[in-house]
Amino acid sequence: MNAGLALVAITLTTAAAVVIGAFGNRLSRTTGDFYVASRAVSPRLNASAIGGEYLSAASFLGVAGLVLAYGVDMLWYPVGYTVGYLLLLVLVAAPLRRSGAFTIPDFAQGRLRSMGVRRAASLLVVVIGWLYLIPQMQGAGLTLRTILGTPSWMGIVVVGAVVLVAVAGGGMRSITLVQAFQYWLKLFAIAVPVFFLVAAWRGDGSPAVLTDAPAEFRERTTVTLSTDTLIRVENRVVVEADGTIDGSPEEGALLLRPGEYEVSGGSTLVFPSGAEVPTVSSLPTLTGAEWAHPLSNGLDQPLYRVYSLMLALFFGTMGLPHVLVRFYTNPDGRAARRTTLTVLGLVGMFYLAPPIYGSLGRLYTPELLLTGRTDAVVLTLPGALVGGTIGQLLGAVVAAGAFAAFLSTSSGLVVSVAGVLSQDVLGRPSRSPVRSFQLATALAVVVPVLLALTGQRLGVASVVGLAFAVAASSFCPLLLLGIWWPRLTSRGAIAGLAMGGGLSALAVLTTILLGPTDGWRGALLAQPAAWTMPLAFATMIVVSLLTSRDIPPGVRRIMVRLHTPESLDLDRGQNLTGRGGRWP
Amino acid sequence: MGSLLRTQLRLALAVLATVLVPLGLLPLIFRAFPAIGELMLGPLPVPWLILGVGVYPLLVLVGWRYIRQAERNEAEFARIVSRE
Repeated sequence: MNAGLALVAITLTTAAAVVIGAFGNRLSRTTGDFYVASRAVSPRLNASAIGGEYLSAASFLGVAGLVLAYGVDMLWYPVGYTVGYLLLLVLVAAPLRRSGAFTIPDFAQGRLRSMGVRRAASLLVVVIGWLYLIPQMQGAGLTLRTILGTPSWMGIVVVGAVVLVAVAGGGMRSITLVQAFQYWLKLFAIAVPVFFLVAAWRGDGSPAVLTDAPAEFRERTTVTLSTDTLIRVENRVVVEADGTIDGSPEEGALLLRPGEYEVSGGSTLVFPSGAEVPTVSSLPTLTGAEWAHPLSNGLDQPLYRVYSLMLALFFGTMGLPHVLVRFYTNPDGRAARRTTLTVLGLVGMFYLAPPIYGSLGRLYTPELLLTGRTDAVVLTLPGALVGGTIGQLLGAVVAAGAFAAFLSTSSGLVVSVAGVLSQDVLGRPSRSPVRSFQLATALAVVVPVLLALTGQRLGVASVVGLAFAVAASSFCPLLLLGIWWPRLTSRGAIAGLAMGGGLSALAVLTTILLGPTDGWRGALLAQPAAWTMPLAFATMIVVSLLTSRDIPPGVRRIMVRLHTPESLDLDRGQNLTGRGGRWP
Repeated sequence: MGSLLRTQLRLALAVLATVLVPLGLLPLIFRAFPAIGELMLGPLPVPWLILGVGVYPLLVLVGWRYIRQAERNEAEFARIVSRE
């Protein structure tokens, strides 16, 4: 890939984000502007903005990387991200907008009249937000490293700094414009190269992906391993080595017999054309058929994992803080529904592309299975398959798109986390709420940057999946029961949030800190939603029934407010949070 | 009020059933009939076609129909209320 070209593209993306942000900044002066753009955003613009915010590093890089490594089962990730939106539309969108609250803690407090629930919800917003931010930062590190060869911390710090400036400077109004712009940039960046990739593949005689053998090098390939890597060789192969293998220095022809080898960082291996690709020990070695067929992806308990993933993604989307806050920028419940439908279309359109990268990557960039950096497939494939000046241009385009993904999702998350931090943690000094928001923004950025610098390297989409699992096990039951079940009580909600959010966060942290494990234990910890989500629902319902004296007064009026169209002149009561009068 | 809540909830659950039941059965079907993995439609295996392409227009269609029905329910409720 041409580093200079890609660097220019990334710089332009970043500059555009900052400039549009600064332009918006002139228009935003009050706290209301900062949080929700004064709720004056049209459904179409808002839908683009939601799409821009939702399509993160996980969608742009992670899905293709997972498909390359594990095959067809990973298509449940993009399907789940999209179905999650449909569930949001059907179960939550309009009532939530009508609640008049503008963060999940606001909703929880207003619906249940309890500060305790508010605090529990605030804590979870911060946990989920930070968890979701870590892979965005790591994706940025991987991208800069792939393009420029810079150390990973560089990309992490760069994205952190840009987001800090953009959010602290402009708040939500500017972010709305930036996000909308970035959706279209991302769609362009991922879709346009697809046409060239498919044309080049056909020009190559349309070689089959679905073969009975594991992936192989199509031509003589030089692979340099930048860090110490444990690799697994399944069939004997003679390579030209230059470096340290299993502790002994090697130079020249080397026979690798089936088995595992510890290759030291900085070593170079040259594989002959047609050689089978050895796989990094953390990924399975799959034949083309195993890779292409469902439920044979080399992971333990694939059926359980698929179902648990489905639950996490389907029901987690509604609980993502940066997704929910967007609904408050719709003028009314009807617009909230229309926005969501448009988002479904925009997001679905985007997801047609990543599986194509993952599949062609198995043919043309199989060395990623050896280095383990499968998340880089979207970035490296255009250069490897198309080649020439066009390949370099396309490489620059996808790099810009990837950066747009980190910037937009990160800034959306930071706005939400900072909003909660400034209101519920740092207090709300009446003198200067804007200053308090800026301080909170700094905190919201710095913590995940530090975590990303120190954390384990897991697949980008996998870590994002973990954030979904926590959301599905905490905010999903809170929202669904809060909106549809009048008998929910504050103590029931707190117990459920603690049970579901606590257990899923624990499972997730175990996986992130200690790395994935085998067997049932590994499956239950890596995909916790199937057991933590039902547990959270059960806890909320049982404890609510036991504490039914706590049902807040006026719950009937609140239910009316949530479910009737704004055009109706009913006794809707106060805005749920009691501060509705401030908003037009 | 209870009637609108119930109508909307019933609609929501009906929509969910039309989406979640078929999607939820897919992995079981794949497990029970592994031969589906071998089925090709043109250049693509059927599971890839379903999960990679087919799901998305379906979801948009279901969402569109849901919105129409939900707004009809609300309009109906508004008519009843304003008549009272």
